[in-house]
Amino acid sequence: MRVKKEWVIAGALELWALTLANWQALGAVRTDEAKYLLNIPYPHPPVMRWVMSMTEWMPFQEMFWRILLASLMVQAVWLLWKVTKDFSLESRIAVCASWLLASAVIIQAGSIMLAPVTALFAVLMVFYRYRHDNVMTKPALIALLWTAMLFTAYQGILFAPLVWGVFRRAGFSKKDSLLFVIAPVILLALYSLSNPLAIATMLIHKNEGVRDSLMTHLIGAGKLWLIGGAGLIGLFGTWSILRTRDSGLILSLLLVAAFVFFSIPYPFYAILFTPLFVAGLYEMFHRKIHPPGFPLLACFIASSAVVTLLARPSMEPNATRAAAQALNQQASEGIVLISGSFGHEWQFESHLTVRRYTPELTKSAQAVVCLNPCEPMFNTSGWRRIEGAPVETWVKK
Amino acid sequence: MKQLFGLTMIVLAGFFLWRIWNIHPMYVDGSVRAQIQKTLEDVANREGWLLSNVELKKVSSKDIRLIYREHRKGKDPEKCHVIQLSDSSLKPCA
Repeated sequence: MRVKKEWVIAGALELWALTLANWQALGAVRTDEAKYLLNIPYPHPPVMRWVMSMTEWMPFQEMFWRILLASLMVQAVWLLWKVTKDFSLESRIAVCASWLLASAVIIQAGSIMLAPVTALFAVLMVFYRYRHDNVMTKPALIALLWTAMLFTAYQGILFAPLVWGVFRRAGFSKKDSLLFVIAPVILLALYSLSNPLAIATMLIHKNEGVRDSLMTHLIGAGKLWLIGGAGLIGLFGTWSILRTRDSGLILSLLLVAAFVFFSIPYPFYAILFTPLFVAGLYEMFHRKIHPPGFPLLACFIASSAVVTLLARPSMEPNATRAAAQALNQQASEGIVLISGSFGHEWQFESHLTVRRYTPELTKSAQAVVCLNPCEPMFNTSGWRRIEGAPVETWVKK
Repeated sequence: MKQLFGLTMIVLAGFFLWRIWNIHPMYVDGSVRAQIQKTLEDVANREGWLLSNVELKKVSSKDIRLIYREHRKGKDPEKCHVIQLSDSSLKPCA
């Protein structure tokens, strides 16, 4: 039986997605990932983390989401394949490959973070930007998708100009487009006011990085631009966006750039550039103002290899998983008190309920973990220290 | 579909406005806001709470009603508490 070549390609892509998911799994669950898996209500709105928390009953919840998100990231290339159906094969492959070769996609696919999910929504909006027929027949669906994008992560708002362009290019009036784009933004503002923890987090972090020099900000933003497009993809994508003079694309690019410039340049923000670079490349090939496709593709591959190698994160897991496993073997229920600074991954990995250490609470606790020295130290008679645990851990006898 | 979108916006806006109304004293009165922040920090230090587990339900100039949800894998134990702003005392919701 002859297998359709698309299935073969999808299969090969899926193997790549599984590789990326397993690579991310080497680092165990990080604190931000634990926040989303456990539906901890800050700093982002609730949609995606609520969906993730519905799978908490799965013992393999972490791997499930790594594989699912990696698969969605990689297989999103089919959206680009579809919008480029009128291109030559060479151009089509170059545009689609730009998504898969972007260092940010390689580094982030399989992580359980919300920036890649936002990027996925943005790719969907790029798809609708070039498929007006879909937008004209179901504008409310696109608007609901936009709402879901905003309610997944606050960074979604950076793509508001892109979404505005989606409706305007499909022929909707300014009034209708405004309604579809702005109403969800207002809703997001109302949600934020109803959840003061989100606002408090933003206010706490608003001054972070402000004290850094202009050069530090420029270098940080520049690195993320580089990773977002693996160098050459970003270069051609940016140049092409500026050439189009399309306000939707340009404004979204400027907003993303401003966001990464003014905030702390976390590596996972790089992927916010990628959908825009891909849209830029689409424009470049659509207007036929591009170098030959296959040689350009070869340059993309080389550039991606260099940037990805240089920007690859360490997958060294922190000690939490090993420490929690040692603890879980000794105690399966009760409270664990933790002294020192700790991340949400403790709440994910530990079978015990996590609280901050104070000596007065040791009476009701089952275990104590001293990441810093437990000060003041509690009375350890009646307690046993776990031998061989990576951090100082005590359990009640 | 347009009506569905409009209805979704209105229903969600109504829900969020109701939640905002329940906590509005902390937005309109700076002294209440400061007192709430201090009270929550005092209680969190005393009880070993993680502030990310706190969900404010209702706020007044005298007390705070909140849910403390212990986020963990599986079912999250949660308890409703009322905290008096005057002395940071904690009692279960009625």
